[in-house]
Amino acid sequence: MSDTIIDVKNLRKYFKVHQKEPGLSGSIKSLFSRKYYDVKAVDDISIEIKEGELVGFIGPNGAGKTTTLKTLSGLLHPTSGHISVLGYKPWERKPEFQRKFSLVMGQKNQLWWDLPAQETFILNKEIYEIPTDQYNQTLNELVELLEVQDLLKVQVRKLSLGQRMKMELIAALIHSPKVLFLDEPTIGLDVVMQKKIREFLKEYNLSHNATIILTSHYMEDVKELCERVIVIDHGKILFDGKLDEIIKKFATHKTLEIVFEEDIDPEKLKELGKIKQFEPPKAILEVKRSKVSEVAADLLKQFPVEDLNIIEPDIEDIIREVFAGRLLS
Amino acid sequence: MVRNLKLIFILFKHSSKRYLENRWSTFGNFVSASLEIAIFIFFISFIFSFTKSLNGWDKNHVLLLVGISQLVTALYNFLFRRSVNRFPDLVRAGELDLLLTKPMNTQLYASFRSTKPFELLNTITGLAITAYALHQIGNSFGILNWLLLLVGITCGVLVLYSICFSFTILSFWSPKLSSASSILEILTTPLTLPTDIYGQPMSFIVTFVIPIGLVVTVPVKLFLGSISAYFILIEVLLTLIFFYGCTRFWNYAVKGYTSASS
Repeated sequence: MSDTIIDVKNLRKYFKVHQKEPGLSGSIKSLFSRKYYDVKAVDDISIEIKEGELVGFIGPNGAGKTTTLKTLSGLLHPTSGHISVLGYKPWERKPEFQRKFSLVMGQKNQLWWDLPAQETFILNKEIYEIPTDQYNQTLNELVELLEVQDLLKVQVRKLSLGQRMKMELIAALIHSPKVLFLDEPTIGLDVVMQKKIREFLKEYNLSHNATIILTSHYMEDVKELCERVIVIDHGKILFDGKLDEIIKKFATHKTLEIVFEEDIDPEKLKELGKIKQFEPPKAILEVKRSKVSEVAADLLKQFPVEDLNIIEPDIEDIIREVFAGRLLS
Repeated sequence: MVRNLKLIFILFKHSSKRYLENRWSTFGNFVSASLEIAIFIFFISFIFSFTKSLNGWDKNHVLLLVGISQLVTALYNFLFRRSVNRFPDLVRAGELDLLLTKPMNTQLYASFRSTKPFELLNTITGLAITAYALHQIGNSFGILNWLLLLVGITCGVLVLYSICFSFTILSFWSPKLSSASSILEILTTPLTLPTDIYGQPMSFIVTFVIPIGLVVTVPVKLFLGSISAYFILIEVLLTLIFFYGCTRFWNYAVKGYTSASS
């Protein structure tokens, strides 16, 4: 499709890692003879991302999220497969390509620690060859959006973690990239700052039609920002689609929350589903999605029900279970 | 080219601002470096109290060599030392990732990101010793001699950089490596003595294979006229070869970079 700006087909990235036997003798032995094995960080993934999309990458530690971002940004050379970002092969690291994207890593910084953040912005102005007018305009816009007018002249090391992340974002966006790779941008931030960063990213995505790929351990980031989610684990894509479709695909059960008017026999209730909790007059019942209507009708018919709620399982619980492998078998 | 110079200028400005905060340690370094040189001069005077010449080099010529070597190392320390020595930290912390995604000459950035402007103070010691040695030698030197010395010093700094940076590039494969600073110590210690005193084949080896002779001895000999002026062509050619090798090695290392884990 014409507006596809990131096209990945059968991407693999394997790392050769040496295996060391335990103990001092193992260390000495490994000086002379080493056994290597392949770690499949990314294992045959294919993705298409269109211009202006905000896509969330979620997965447990070591799933392959960051490796994918690093490969897309040209830091890593793929083991095999096809990658095109904005029409470029990222690993060739062409300056024309590098001017069009930015990589932000929540755990690493590009700001000069001992200097005010604006000094890094000035350096980036030269690196990206930004005309002065455009630089001033973009800087003013970003500073206003992130409300950091008073912090520009403060040494980076004196800023809080959240303030620093805001400055990192300005440094990354000062050249108005078309594609933004964000690796855990809200890591370690308090909830208020997380929300502010999320609001900024949403606003930036809409106002600049920037394509954003985000990895995060915080489901709130993904829930609030990303319509499309890619779930990755052990280097493979488990799911690629809308967030609410995860529930349809992986959640095999729904939960019924019931309040009874009087005491009931739990043994009889068991016949309708799995009792997750029974604290009279309340009970929580887990039933198969396909049988929810039938069970609800039976409940109303057979028991003195005062209140009944049908609840979708929490997305975080589902994803946790997906990663634990319970929903895949 | 203009863009690279502009970038070096900004990096230099940033580093200067950063080091304005650490001026006391800089003055401390200046005092200790000067003391070290003073002790070395005393050592040379002591040696020359027993002999008039070391394989053709008299005391004043050796003093000139000490002055020029101080100048070359001060220039290297000013421009590159800190960036080169701290490069393994960049690899270890994964901060190299962000550097490699930028549209610029990454070797240039990695080499100039931490210039130490106050190291220039140490050139004062070098210039003072050089001036004293020249006064003692008493000859007057023509423009060509000074030009040869200038080109020779530039080559010397570049050769020193190429060797030390090549060693630090090894940290791509072994991020715990901190050999660049040790290599510098190993290389700069014999700089203050003429390579001729080692005799052959050692003298040849330390000039052309492990090219520390190119750093100071050859420029000084060119200046003094004890070797043909045409030797400057060999000096420049060898410098370019070492610098080219270092750049190729950088490109090779960057290509195979596997990045630190998140």
